[in-house]
Amino acid sequence: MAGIKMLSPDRKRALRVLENRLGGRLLTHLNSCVHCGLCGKSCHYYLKYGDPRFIPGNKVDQISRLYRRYFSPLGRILPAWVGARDLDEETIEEMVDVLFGGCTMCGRCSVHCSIGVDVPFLVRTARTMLMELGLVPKGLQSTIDTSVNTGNNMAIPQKELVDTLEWLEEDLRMEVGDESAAIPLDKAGQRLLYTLNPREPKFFPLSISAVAKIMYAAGESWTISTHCYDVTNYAFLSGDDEAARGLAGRLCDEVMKLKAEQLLLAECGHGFRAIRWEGPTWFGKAYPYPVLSVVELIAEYVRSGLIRLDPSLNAERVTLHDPCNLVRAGGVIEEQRYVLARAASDFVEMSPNRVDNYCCGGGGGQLSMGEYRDRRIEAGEIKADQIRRTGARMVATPCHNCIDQLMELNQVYELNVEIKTVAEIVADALVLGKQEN
Amino acid sequence: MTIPHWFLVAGLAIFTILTAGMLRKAVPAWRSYDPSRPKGKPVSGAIYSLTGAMLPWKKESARLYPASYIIGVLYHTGTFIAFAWVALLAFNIGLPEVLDSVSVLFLAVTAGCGVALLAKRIASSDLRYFSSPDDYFSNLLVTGWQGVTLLTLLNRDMLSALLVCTGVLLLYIPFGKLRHAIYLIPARVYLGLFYGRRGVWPAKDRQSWQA
Repeated sequence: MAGIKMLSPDRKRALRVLENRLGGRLLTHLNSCVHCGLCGKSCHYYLKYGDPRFIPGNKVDQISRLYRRYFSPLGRILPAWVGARDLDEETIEEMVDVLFGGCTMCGRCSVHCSIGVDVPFLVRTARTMLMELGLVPKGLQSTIDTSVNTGNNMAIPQKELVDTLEWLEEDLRMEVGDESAAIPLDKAGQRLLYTLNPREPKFFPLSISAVAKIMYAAGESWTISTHCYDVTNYAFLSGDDEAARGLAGRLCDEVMKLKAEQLLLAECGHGFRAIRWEGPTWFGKAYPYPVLSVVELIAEYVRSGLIRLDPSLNAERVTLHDPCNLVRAGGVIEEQRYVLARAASDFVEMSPNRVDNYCCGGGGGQLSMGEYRDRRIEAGEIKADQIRRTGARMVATPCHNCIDQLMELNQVYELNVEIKTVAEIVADALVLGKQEN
Repeated sequence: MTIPHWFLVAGLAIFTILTAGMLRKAVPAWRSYDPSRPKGKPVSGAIYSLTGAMLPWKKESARLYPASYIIGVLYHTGTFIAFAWVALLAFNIGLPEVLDSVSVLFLAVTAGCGVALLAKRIASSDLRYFSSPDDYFSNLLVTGWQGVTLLTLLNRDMLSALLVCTGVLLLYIPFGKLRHAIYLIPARVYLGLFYGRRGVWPAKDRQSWQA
């Protein structure tokens, strides 16, 4: 390991991250990029700025040049020849700016890469190295710390959550005209344990109401834990595997404690990806119970006739934004379309969509990193243009992170649209009282 | 066997040993790296990654850059043709003369494609930004080797030079950017397993999901 001995202890630790993972998938992707640059136009940052720093191939190079410098024969002997770089101040500074501030790990570039390099996987590994150096942007790190220390990323006290949910339960009873309608809290032995994005009780309670109304209509057996419910996992985005494992583990323990049959994840793109897909890797085994997105559940309700929808109740044109972590990296692709086509009378697609959709600009932890706020909004112009071209008055997206970014884009680019979760649109189209037939 | 023949054999042996070592580290992990419950079929994703996902209209890297895509495909095809000729010439296996002529023309085109790709890298400030000497040298090495193959087809006295060039190329592949030739298929397989497990690849249409 040429040169490693000369490095400071934290830089050695950062390189150990790389060394300890060098094998299989990581080794393959580190050695695959050919610097063709044809990935540039697949990245919303490069499309916006035309800056070569944001070409995904250059993002790959942020970590592969370190691999070449310290772990490849030619890079050790002739670093300049293969573009290998020392882990020095300049390199680290560029890594932070490009990998935290210029990438949402949306993965669009990988789908379109001529070779098939898994760019977000490499970017996340590099973020883990930066985490070892203590260089996770402050806002992102404090969100993680809050989650770890308080149990949810907005530090909502349990009493405040309970008050909110009880108030929503009263509202639900009034809305459906049924005193038995409920938002069951901490109830053991239910079929589903439902999670929340803390932004819901804090700022968007209507999205909880929407899900509760759908559950009521479907006659579902479900519950919410009042002390362990946070679906988000910002440690996944910072590359902190230990914290990510801890956060995901809490939810898993809660499923077992409440003896639920399934873990149902709220509309949160990165939370879904982290828990549904990455968790088993952190734990080294598959979950003993199914984990699914509430969007998948609603699609099943509609498909099986358990709930009935009247699309005329959503008469305005609706379009759909595909959250990268739920769709491209999560495999929930058709369910939300199936539902929206039945819940709204004028549902139109953005172009491009599904796996080819552009990131809204708020992914990868961008919303919590205030230092890159301007860049996030500017790079989001591509999404704003996509929305504008549809002529829609309402944008559905099954992700609260995306909702926050879209709301900001709505304001800055004067899109004049309403942003809603899929459940909110479904709840507005619900036909109650017929499902018994 | 002449000295150039022995040089080629040595180059091939070293290339094979190094490549086997690299693949041994890269490949076996594919079975174990993701324990999550699959939504789709990982193997179907891997097959799609190597087939359907490579179609030019599926990838922006091809769709948005048709000229670069065609030039790239021709260039790489030239490499395979040149390797085939090296094998035939090294073992003195004769083919109908017309194939010589066709190959000369084809290799002239493919080597020209190599020059075009090199010119693009030199001319584009975006590409220069993250290119290293290895990127330029790798292109020159392969393009030059295709050229030497072409010259050997025109004049068999060049055979020794071709064998030495091929030996040098084989020795360099595992060390520089050309190692992508070794990792290309594993990279596509890993990406395909990732998307296949999650039910993203093979791409489905709406009707097939509803059925």
